[in-house]
Amino acid sequence: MKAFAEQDPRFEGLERKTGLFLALAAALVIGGFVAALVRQGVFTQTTPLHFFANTAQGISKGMPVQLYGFKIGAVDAVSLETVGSNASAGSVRVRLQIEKEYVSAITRDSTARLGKEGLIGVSVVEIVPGPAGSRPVAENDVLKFERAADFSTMAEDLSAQIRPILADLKSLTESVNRPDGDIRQMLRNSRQASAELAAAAREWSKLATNADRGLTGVLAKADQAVDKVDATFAKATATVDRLDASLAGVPALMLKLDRTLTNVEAASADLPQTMRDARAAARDGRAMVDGAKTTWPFNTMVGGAEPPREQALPLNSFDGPLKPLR
Amino acid sequence: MNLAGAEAYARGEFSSARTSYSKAIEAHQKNRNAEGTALNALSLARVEQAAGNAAAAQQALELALASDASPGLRAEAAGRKALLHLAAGERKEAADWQARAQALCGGCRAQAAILNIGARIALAAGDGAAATQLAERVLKLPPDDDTRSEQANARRIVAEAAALPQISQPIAQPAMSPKIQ
Repeated sequence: MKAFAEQDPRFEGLERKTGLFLALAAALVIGGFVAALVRQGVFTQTTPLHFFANTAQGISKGMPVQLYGFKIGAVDAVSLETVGSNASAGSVRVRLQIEKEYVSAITRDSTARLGKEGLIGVSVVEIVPGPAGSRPVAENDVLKFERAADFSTMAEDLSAQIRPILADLKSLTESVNRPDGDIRQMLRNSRQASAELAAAAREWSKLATNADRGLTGVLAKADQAVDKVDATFAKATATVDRLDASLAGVPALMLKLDRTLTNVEAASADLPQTMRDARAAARDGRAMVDGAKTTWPFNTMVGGAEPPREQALPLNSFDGPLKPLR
Repeated sequence: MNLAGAEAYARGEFSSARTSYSKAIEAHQKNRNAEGTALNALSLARVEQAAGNAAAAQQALELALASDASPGLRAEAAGRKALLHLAAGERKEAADWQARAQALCGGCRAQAAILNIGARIALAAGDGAAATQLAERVLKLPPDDDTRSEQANARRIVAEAAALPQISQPIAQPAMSPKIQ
């Protein structure tokens, strides 16, 4: 007995459907394969270019080749060149496959630079075009090569710069550590000098303190001396005042003496010899007074030094009318 | 001028003295010298008093009193005014001026004269005790050129005061005789 009837509509054209599905699947697979190939650049038309490097380090097949940051090709092959001219022997040949549409942008004196995208990105070969006006490259042309600075290169450069500095530092440290070295000697001398300076400063301070004390003492004594001088001056002034007062009376005294001597002289005119001797003595006395009048300080006090002071006629309690003489 | 006036006065030449002192006063008044004006006015007053011209003397004393001179000079002027009033018998005015002179004087050179003037006024009033008291004050002053002559005047006043009660006492009436009774 048959399980399925020939009249089941579900199975009508089954072979056709299956064939169609298979064809579609095959097409998809093929299409996918072709797309993959296209994606791989199998169908892309490329131009091979070369460059030579000292070492293959950092260069690998499939490494992208960029121009102005755009991928224009890839490293196709890396091989060690053992035969050929001196320029190429013992070096590494690297073949690049560059898409044809970009070849015209690459000139003959362009440089292939091995570097990294960013500082720590993937390694790429960057084409650095030459100056404008150069001829574009042709198929299988050789480009100049250079390696861009990477960490290791920078580290080596830095190391090369630091190494001599470190050497100097080391020698300097050794010199410092050497007991009889210049620096130790200089430090020793500086320490000694600063100690001596400190001691000198202490001595100066002591000296200044003593001088200050001494000066204070001297000033105090000077003050006392000035006070004594002041007191002496005061006494001298008082003495001078008293002397002045005494001397003020001398002119009047001298005038009285003068009048007295005149009176004595007049009175002795008619006296006997003894009285005449007294008259002579009075004359001598007058001469002495006259002489004193011309001697300093009396000459400034008597006889016309000043005009006589005005005086009022004195009041007498028995004043009254008088009989006029004329 | 002042010295010439004093010399003329000493010679008794009152008109020359008057002229000299008047010129001195004019000169001091021009210079606005109050002291010089006052002391020359005092001297002029004495000359006028000596000449018997009481009115002219009073006028000169008014000039001295009106000036801004020292109290001592104005005291002398007041004292001389008291003398003029006393000479004119005007005891009240004399006492007033003597009191003013004493107030102005203090310890001036005319102190003894002013006290003696007070004593003379008291004597004229018959008050022997007051006169003696004042005169004895003069006698107690230290003797110097200004006080010596006044101390002599004070002794005279004391003597007059001592004699005063004998004059002022009424004369005793004799007792009625029996015969008359």
